[in-house]
Amino acid sequence: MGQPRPRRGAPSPVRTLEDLRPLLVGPEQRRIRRIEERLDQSMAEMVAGALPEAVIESRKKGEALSWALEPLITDAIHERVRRDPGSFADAISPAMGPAIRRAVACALRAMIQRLNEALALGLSWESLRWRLEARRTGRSFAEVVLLRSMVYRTEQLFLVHRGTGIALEHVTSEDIPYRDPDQVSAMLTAIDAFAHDAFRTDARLERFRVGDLTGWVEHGPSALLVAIVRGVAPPAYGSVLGETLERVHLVYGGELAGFRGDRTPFSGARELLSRCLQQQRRSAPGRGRAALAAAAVLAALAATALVFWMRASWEDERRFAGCVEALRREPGLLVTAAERRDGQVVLTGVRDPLAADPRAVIERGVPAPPAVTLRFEPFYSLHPQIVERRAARALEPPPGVSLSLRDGVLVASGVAPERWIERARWSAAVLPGVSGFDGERLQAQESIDRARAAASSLEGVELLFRRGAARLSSEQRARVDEVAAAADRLFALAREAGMTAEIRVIGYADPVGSEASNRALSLARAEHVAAELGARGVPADRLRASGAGLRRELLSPSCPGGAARTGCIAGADERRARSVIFLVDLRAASKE
Amino acid sequence: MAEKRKVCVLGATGVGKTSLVARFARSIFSESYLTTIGVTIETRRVRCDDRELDLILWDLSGEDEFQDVQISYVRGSAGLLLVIDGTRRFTVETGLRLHAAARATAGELPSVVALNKADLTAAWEIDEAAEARLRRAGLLVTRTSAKTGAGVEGAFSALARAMLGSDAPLWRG
Ligand SMILES: Nc1nc2c(ncn2[C@@H]2O[C@H](COP(=O)(O)OP(=O)(O)O)[C@@H](O)[C@H]2O)c(=O)[nH]1
Ligand SMILES: [Mg+2]
Repeated sequence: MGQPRPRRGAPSPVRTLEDLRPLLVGPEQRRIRRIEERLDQSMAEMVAGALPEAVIESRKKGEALSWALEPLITDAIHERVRRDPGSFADAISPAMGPAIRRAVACALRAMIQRLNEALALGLSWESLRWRLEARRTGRSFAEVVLLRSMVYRTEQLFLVHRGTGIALEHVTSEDIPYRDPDQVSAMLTAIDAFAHDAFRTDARLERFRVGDLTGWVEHGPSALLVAIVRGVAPPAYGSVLGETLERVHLVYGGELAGFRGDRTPFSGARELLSRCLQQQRRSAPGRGRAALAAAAVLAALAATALVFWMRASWEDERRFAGCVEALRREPGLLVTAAERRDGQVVLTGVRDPLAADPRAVIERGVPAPPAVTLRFEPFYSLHPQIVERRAARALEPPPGVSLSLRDGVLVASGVAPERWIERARWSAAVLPGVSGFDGERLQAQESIDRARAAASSLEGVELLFRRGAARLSSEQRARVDEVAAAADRLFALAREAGMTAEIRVIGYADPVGSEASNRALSLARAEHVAAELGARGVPADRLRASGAGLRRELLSPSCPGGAARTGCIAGADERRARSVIFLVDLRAASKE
Repeated sequence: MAEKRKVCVLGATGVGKTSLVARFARSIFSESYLTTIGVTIETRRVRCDDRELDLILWDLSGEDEFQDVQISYVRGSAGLLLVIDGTRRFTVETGLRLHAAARATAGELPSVVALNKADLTAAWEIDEAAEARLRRAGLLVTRTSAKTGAGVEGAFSALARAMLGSDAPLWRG
């Protein structure tokens, strides 16, 4: 259309152009064809190559690209969260914790500010002292008031694997008697699951109270942290727990997800948890103390002997310092020298055979560990944690027994065979770092078995009654002496086993008569026997009488109901239907 | 350090779950938890070819006309002990039903059947056909008596061995 029309009479210009074109633009035509082909074949590849640069260029020019992409990305995130909210929450939860804490800290500061203003008006001897302390420590007055007026102590910490309820780590403060941590942690997860199922909410067990003790439960994606606290801890304690649990997830995320029952990968978690254990140490000098003090002095000397001959960059220096610090914190490891030889860094020190592998400690504790040569000689460490490990290795406590070290004394608690207790008493004292053995809180398995045997022999007794009678015949009454003696024996053996026993006295009646009258008769029989036992010195608060009506176990299932049952029980069982039997509740006496 | 495994003990009421576990381990908790929250927990260490395993036994209260088993407790288990009362045939049905429910919640798990009350031979109601049915369901069948203690250690060590043999399953949320 835009082409100029050829002039009449002249030679055909079209033809000439066709002929000329290959001559004039032939090479360009071929290049254009090649480019077209390449575009068809590898468009995606080319764009991918150029895209990152293009994005960078575009960002330099302005925000147009962000505007263009924003709705797409928002939609993509929405879609992802809708389809799989769990993994999204897991991904952002390490970041959410600090953000929320920051917001809460701001709110608290504001509150403390207001509290400060209110308190500034009051005046007392106590408040004068607190004011001085605030001045000295640079804390706000309100903070000091809060701190000083709350008294609490963390007694136990459990790190629990969420899926299995297994205790990965259990830390206690000194002198706290405690029970099998696995049973406790499993029961806590059971209660959590029970509450969750029973009330069908998304809420979880977060706090529970038992007398003066409060349980604080922090929930993470793969683990729970449970603190048993005596007294009233400030709300900020919750964030200490929360932070610790986040760090546990950061450090052990992979191990937690792949946990199948082997706890060795978590041996370093103790260190993280001990942050949450607020202890009030009493300073009582003792033999164990002296040994520990000697070890501490040794460690301090070693630390001062630490020399660096390094002219590396500051960054390098910092990473090496990180290594040494990580090793220093690890119980049972002592670094005595760090030097650079022929461009190699050599760390020399001593290592208890029960301490963690120094290389693993470095890899765990330093983000990008530098290359180091490690030279560690064996030695016996007196670090309490190592001494505890040594004791556990040497004594092999059965699963019901927990060991802990207090002022150099090895404290064992729980249930064990007598043979083990005897052996532990002798072998503990010769272990390096252990000055004595305290078995006060140990129960012998055999004494428990004896108490159980006494309970079952009592449970084998049946006292029989005449039809309609609520009182024993004189022949049966003579057997009550035998029952009272068995009860005495039971109580004595239970006490020896650290248990308490309660006897349920249960009365039965035969099918003759109405159900109501049988129930009354069965109760009267039980109460009569309980009174007879009371008269023979059995403490009344250990007896619980109840009437059960018919003794159903003796009825054959084909029996019709009602009065027709009378003929249903045959022979010897016919007398046994009118009876009193004994059931024993044996339970561990609480140590509190 | 001994490895740990959670094990659930399942079965109809009265088949002898609590008696079996009591034979085998000792609890620090009162049995009343069984009726209140439906579970009580015991621990015991077993040795299996030079390896030690701490079993954490969850004794779940049984199913009867008054209560359902809290099947969610099965989550995170590495193995199941299915208890059946050899003197009451219907407890086979209950056992198989609970086994299916447990598998739906926790996936395929090493499972051992204890045909309990083996001391009561006169009243025995389980015939070859019933035992074959259990085996067809992929279960290892053992006989136990919580009363005499016969077969109790064997049943638990068979389960421990099966758990060590198969990789413990990763916990399914
Ligand atoms: N003869 C006999 N009786 C048993 C045996 N195991 C349990 N029992 C009895 O069966 C009853 C129910 O036992 P229990 O352990 O409470 O059953 P659970 O409901 O499954 O926990 C009790 O009376 C036990 O004494 C056994 O092996 N032999
Ligand atoms: Mg039971």
